[in-house]
Amino acid sequence: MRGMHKAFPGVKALDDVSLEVWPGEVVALVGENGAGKSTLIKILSGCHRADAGEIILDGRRLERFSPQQAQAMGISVIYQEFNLAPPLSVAENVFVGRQPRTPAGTIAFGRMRAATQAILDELRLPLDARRLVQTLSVAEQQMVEIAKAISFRARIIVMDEPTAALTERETATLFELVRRLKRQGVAVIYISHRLQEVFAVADRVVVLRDGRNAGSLPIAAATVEKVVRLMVGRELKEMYRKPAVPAGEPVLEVRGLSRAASRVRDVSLSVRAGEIVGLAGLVGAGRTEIARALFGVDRADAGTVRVAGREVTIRSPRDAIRAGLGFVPENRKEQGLFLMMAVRENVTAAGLDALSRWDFVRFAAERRLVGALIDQLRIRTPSQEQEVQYLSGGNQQKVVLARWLALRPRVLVLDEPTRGIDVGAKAEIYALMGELVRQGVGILMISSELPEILGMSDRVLVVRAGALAGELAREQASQEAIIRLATGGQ
Amino acid sequence: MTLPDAQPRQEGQAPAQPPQTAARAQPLSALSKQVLVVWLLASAALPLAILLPEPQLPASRLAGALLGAAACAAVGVAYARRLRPAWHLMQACMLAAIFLGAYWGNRWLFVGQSLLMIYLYFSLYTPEVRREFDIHAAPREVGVLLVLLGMCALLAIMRPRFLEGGNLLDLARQFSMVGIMAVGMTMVIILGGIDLSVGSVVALAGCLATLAMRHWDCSILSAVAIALATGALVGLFNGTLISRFRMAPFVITLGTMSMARSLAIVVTGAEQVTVKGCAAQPGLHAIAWEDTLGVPNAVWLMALCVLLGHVFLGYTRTGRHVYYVGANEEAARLSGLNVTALKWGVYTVCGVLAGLAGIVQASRVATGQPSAGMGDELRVIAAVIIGGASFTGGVGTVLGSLLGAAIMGVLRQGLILLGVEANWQQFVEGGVIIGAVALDMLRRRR
Repeated sequence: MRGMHKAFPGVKALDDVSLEVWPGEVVALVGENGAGKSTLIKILSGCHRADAGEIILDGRRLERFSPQQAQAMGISVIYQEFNLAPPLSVAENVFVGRQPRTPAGTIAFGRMRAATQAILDELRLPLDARRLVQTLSVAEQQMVEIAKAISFRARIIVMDEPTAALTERETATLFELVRRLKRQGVAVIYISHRLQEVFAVADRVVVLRDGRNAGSLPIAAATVEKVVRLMVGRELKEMYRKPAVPAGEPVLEVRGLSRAASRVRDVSLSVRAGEIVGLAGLVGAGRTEIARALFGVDRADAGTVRVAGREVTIRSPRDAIRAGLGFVPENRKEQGLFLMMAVRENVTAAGLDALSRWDFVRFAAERRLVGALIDQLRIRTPSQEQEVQYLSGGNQQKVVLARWLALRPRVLVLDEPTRGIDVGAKAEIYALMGELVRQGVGILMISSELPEILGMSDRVLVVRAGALAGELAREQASQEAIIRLATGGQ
Repeated sequence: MTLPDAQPRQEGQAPAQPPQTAARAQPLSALSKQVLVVWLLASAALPLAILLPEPQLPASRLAGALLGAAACAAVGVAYARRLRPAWHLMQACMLAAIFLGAYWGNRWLFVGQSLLMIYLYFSLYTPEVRREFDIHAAPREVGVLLVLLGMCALLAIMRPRFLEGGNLLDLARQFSMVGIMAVGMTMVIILGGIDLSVGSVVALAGCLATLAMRHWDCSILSAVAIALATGALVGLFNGTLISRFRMAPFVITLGTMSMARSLAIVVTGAEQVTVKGCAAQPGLHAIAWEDTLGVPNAVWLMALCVLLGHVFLGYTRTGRHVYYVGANEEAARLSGLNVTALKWGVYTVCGVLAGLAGIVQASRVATGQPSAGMGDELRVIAAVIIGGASFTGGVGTVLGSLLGAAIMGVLRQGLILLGVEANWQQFVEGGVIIGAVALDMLRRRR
């Protein structure tokens, strides 16, 4: 791919980006969110068309092509969301849309199964072609996607964040598979936020920044620091800048919070002013459920909540907000944002009460407030009126945060505040959290990233099976100690 | 039904860059020069069209002369490179000319100005021109307005009768019912729902009101109150099931559509309810058939509903909450919005407006008919979708829906004027609905 250009409304997504891949090479494509990785891949796979630039495959210049044509030419993309039909078998999924036929015109199930099994065996995948996809684990489904790509005789396989939902062992299996593909002469473009993985599997690292090529390093010459520097275009100093704030009075006290329907059992915790309390635990341990019960999204069966010493009844998010709580949900696109509405409207979604008189919105005051928050949080947007769907992940997250900051809450509950956002935006969000605790806000932070928990928290609470398994002070907290509590191991 | 590069919801945005200082030095682009040529044509067309031999009052000549002068002034202002104020002045002149053309039945004026305006927006409203003129993207409704103007211009050319003898007011009277219901439907669709029961509510409300007039000989005000209450009850029923029990709006309102229609037939015994000789009969007659200040009362009613709806959705906190819930219900709930109450209220308002439309309908046919409003739900939904709302929720405006209702009205009358057989009308209307939804899909794909 040479000199790719692509512009979207209000954003220049790609600006003269080139990418070269050789057979049998694993190229890692890294960059912050919004750097243009997805756009580049979508052009390669035929989903988008470039405004300028050319794609050359085996010396042949490709003109407009559809995703189907791309697949036929040997370019397969495995997206984070799989394109599989769960109720069908592995074989049917691999040959979807081009099932072999019997002379009578019906599907030749036997031949299809045999062909699929041959591919699976060739890749040494421990899968039975007859199994239904809905019975497979995420890792196994991914293998089906790869088998599907191979069945097209793919010569370039693009994997978009393939390990996002995999366990460590599954990741190792995937890497093994990638290496086997490589030996067969297949080129792999590997997109990931996790740099360790990149170093484990890639031959070369290509870094994109702000829609341009920021650099390309052979893996032997690359170090984490070098790659990060290329990604953000500046030296990253200490990521976690948690200011030492003397903790004040408790702003949030929870006693015996329970909710049978979401398996939350007798949770008691407190957060003091100027304190960041980390809520750690395995995925599915019930951390989000605790936050939701606390915030009134799901109504708790039992328990008392005191905010700044005053007991409050929380039966809906409305009550929680009135009491001085704020909640940044884990899935910002589905639970946090109004994607097709303007940045301004997104920021004031929870705070219009204070911005209206006789139910009439005071637009001037609204614009002033939003403008101030955009400056304060350094939200990068062409204007307040930009639809929030066109912002990058980090800026979208800042918009959700701005919504709560506008309300000046006493307690902020952050559920995975930096999920899926790039390094630079992460650092900015950590800095903002530091600023908030300095102002006396109490923060309860749920996170699956242990470095984040360890770096930012004053205290760590570990959740196991819907209940608190233990508490660790900042000095005691370590990855091992947290994992021991989270898994119940000794 | 959107402009090539229309970005919705841009109104009231502060100008991005300081105007003219830099632009003054550079020569204008070819496109911007074309805009100025269109202006010249537009301002020249004004006095010319007014002098053409069609029936007019002396006062109209004066108004025309003033308008022509204002347009020339706009050109002058533009010549002095004050492009933004010139643009706004010119838009106002062209719209006023189109309006006066329709009002006087001067089709040269109407057609000429409409075509110029369509040309201006569809061909010349490019990002380049917008930058040089320092103007914003047009709101989505402008696209709908231009389509409406185009249809009217076409009809005015082919059938001069279209503009004559107050036909346009008659047209407005005809679509006022759909227009009134479209206000409520806009809110429902923005909320991400749908209300199929409005057509049946028209029948039920009209029948109950006329029955009350005949049997209790009640006043027109009580009859209106009964119609509105009927609509409110059906709306409350819909809203309660949809918001409290989280049932699918499509299914619930399909059910109430059937129930309300059946009730209307039961209470009337499947016969027309005549109100001849009742005390309230003149009052009922006045709603659709009498004018205030030269405009039919039904049109005033529609205008009032549209104005209230527009202010509510565009300028109030609760109105904005409707958009939030439609755009993302879960996020709205997490932001502390009372989603249940909002849904409840919106479906109720939609029902009340359908009840009001029921009275207008009863007034138009001077009877209560159990078969009234049949198929109106589709016409109303089509109007709202044509007007720029989307079934996915979160998008839409009352003004757009009003224009959509007008398009449906013009289409209906246009087919009659053009001599299309009446039986084909529903076919064309159905096609327009499909076309509007297809446009909505295209719009979202971009």
